Amino acid sequence: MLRNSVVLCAASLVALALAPLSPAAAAAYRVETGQTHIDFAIGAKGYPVTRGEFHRFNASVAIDAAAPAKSQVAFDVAAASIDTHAPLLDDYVRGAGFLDTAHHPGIAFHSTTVRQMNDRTVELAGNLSLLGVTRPETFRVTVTPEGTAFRLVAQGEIRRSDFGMTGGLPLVSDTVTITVSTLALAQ
Amino acid sequence: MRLLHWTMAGLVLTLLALGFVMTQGTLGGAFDLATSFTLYQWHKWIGLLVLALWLPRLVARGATQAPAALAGWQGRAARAAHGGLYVLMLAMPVTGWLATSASPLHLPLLVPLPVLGPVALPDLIAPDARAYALLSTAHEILAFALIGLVALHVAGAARHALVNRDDTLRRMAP
Repeated sequence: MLRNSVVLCAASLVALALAPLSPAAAAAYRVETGQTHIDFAIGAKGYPVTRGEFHRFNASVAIDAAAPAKSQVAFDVAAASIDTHAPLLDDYVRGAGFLDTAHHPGIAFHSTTVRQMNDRTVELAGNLSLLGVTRPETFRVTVTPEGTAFRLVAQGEIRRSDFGMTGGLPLVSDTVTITVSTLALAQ
Repeated sequence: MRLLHWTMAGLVLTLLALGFVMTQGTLGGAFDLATSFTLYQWHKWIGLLVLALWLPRLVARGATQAPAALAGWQGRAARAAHGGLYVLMLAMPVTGWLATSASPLHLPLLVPLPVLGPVALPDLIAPDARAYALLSTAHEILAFALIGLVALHVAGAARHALVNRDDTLRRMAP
């Protein structure tokens, strides 16, 4: 506990000390598509957890290691690229009760603030747009340096009913766990 | 008639098998949601196919000279069993469709048409948990009645061939 506090203090001090020296904008990183996974998990009464993935997306990541608060993340995901490993279920989830991809082709997350929790974790707050509804949501991101690159694993929970997605309720749970993992390469 | 008979036989047996398998989801979590959904979807499609073939089947039956009925109780039993099979071949898809409409999950009943793509069939009744429970139970009870009648039907055909040694079974031979 004490050690953690010391590390935290040290990290804050380093961040404070470096802040004035760091450039105004965070450096843009290249998102390695092949090592990026946008996964979700959702429960349903009487069934094991159902997992799936979105395959098509555009992402931009800007990281300022010295001043994490200046970092920025944006993901634009093609809703229709959902894959639960069951094509019939995918078709159904693309329909009106769930993703309604005909009317809402995109799912987007754009970060607003980044708050450092400890030297490996940041809290990423931003606006999530789904089904035409934009709401603030928060993800906890684990940051692991790999040479000059960073491996980022973001996890958060959303309530799909907040976005008007009510299909299958209450047998299919309201809470969806979203996990996005990516490798951001220095350019 | 022969083609219709064996097509229906294949479809009905497949439906019964799928019906039993897909409802075993709670047996030690045999299936995940995706597999279960896929099995139900196939069950619905095949059921709708049976529904679509029911009227042609009835017309074909009316246009065909049925074999002379046996005298006495056996003839009456045969007529009752055949009547029952026709009633159930209609009642099973209809209760299935009704149950799907009444389901609180409110899944659309999609028909995968070759060129037009999936078309959603209308709901026959509004979603209602009590109606759903009732209709599902009715569908299940009718399924057991159907199994009984199919068994009787097969036994009757076997008796014609093996005991009576007449041509009844050969009429349906593929």
